[in-house]
Amino acid sequence: PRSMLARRLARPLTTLARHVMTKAVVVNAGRLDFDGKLDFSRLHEACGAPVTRHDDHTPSPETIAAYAVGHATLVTKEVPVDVNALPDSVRLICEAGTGFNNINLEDARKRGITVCNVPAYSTDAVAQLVMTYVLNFSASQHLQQTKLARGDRSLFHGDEVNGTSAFEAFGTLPHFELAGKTIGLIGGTGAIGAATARLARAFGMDVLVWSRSAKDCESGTWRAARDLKHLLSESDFVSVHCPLTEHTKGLIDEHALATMKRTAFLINTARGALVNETHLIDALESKTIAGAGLDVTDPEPPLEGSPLYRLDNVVLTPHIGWKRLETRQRLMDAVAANVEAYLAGKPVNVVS
Amino acid sequence: RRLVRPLASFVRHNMTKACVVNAGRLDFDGKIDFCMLELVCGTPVTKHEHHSPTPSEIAQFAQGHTTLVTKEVPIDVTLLPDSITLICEAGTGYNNIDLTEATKRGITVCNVPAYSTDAVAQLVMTQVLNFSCSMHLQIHANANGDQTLFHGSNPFKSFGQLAHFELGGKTIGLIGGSGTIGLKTGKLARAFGMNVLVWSRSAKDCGDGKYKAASDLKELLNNSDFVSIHCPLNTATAGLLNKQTLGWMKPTAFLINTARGAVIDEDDLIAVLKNKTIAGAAMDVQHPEPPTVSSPLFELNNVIVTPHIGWKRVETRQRLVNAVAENVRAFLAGAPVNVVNS
Repeated sequence: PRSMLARRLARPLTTLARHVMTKAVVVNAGRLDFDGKLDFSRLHEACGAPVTRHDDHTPSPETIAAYAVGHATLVTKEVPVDVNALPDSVRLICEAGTGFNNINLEDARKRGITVCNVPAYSTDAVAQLVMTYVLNFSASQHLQQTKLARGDRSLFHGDEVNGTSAFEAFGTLPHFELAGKTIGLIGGTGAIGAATARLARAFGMDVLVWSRSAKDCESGTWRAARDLKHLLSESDFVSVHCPLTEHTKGLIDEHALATMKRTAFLINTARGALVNETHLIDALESKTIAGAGLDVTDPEPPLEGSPLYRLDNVVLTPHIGWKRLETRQRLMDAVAANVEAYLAGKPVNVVS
Repeated sequence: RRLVRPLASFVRHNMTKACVVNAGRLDFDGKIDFCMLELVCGTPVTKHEHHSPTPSEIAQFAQGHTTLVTKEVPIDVTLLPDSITLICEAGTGYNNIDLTEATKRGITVCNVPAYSTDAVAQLVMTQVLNFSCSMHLQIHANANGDQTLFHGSNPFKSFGQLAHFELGGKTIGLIGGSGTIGLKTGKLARAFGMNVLVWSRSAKDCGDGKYKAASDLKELLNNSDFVSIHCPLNTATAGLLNKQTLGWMKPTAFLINTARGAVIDEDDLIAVLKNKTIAGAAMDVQHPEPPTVSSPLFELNNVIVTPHIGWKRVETRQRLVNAVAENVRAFLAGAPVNVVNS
């Protein structure tokens, strides 16, 4: 990366006139920059002063408050922040992410602290992850790769014990083309839902959307479901794309799961608590639905003994939707842009 | 069903006694509907539940039949009875049938050139996506109860060891990619924001920028993040990917083969994977197929191997069987289609 001085000289003259700087601290760079590959230079520039970095990934609220001493801007990713414990110096909290449910906005408002988020940085990454699950399920890759990982090669060499050929063994696995299959997007009218819809259609899928704000899209990109029940009963894949609120918590419960087709798959890349996990585990064990792809869970990660780790029809990933390198760099740069805008007196992406 | 069909089909005089020599391969799950074939043949179709009959078994099955339907098994044409006038390969590749011999005996050989287009393109994208988020490695770890990425001493740092990138701006190089499957794969790749590079004897730069033609194999291999094979197996393409050419790939690149195993020199590939000359490979086809019990392909860390599933989806196989029926119909009507020998 070019030196800070060179970059400052390269920027338009107006920014040199900026008087405002901010002492910023990244409280959990160990989460955001877990591979050390991110470039923080835009954030350094935006702040006009060196940025403090802590390599923790999950600091406690007390630790965060301690880190905040002497700083005016907090950059945090997906860790609970006790706003009331923060020193008075803090004026700005930048959540390096889209969900901000871990920051009490009421408390922030009371203390005059501005809270910003980054509403759209993982759009393509998450849409790609949804399609990865969809494609894997359509070709039973989760089942096939699990067998191979355990040394079971019956799909290649047959099973001598049972006297089945490799072809017969394969015949027990679902294996279908995507064209004409339906993906139902719950709350799918946001950026990620729309990107997912576009990709699904590239594979010839039909897209059904249920959202309080959905209207039938005239271009035919998707159809609006009459209600959640309609979406669940018609979809071959159900993907969750809504924020976690008191209204959406536990939205996917035993009734919802029972309404899904037995051959259908559930995909959650949004927030774990949107799904009632106990009910989901029951549904998976009883084969009420065919499988689930979960990038988010509640809690996260799942407890060590959770059945989610051992169920064959579950694909579990450790909240990777935002972790791609380009995604995190875009995120860092967006946080820097939020800081710039705030310092210029025209804050953007304010959620408080 | 007969009543529903247009009147013209009643006027057909020709029938054919057909034999499916390995329905156990084509219809391994019993879900395929053969009624179109039965209708076209005009008499019941003999079906054998074998998946890999020998050439002599096939010759025996052929007794008393005029049409053979076969899938991916070697046929000894010299052993077939004189009654056989048509061989329908239920698939695209027909390297298992001696065309010269068939022509000598006046036997027409048909294939089904395009039935698995969507299915194979989807499989290529499945593995591209899997490599882009190391999903295969994660499934592997979960399968063995390895929870390091969830509960290790530093799950974030552990995850940092795995390749994990967006597809936008990455390049997929399609070898021989100007056929139907290559073009469909390119189209899907572009939907993900990828650049598409094609090398093929017939590739030209696509005017509207949909893909770029590489001037030679080296250029394609040097510049691709994913290399996918889409050419038929013949004397020119056997062993095309070998120690030398694999060395032209980026060390971060992944190889995908859904075409024919022997296009890659498998021993060279195994060596290259062990050395980490390339980042990984997804092989739906191998040489031999299936791989031997002791094949390193099953043990290597960054290999995704599948038992030639590209054609196995239920819709794909149904489309295939219906296309075979159509080949038979055209032959009986005196205007054969999809003939691969002359």
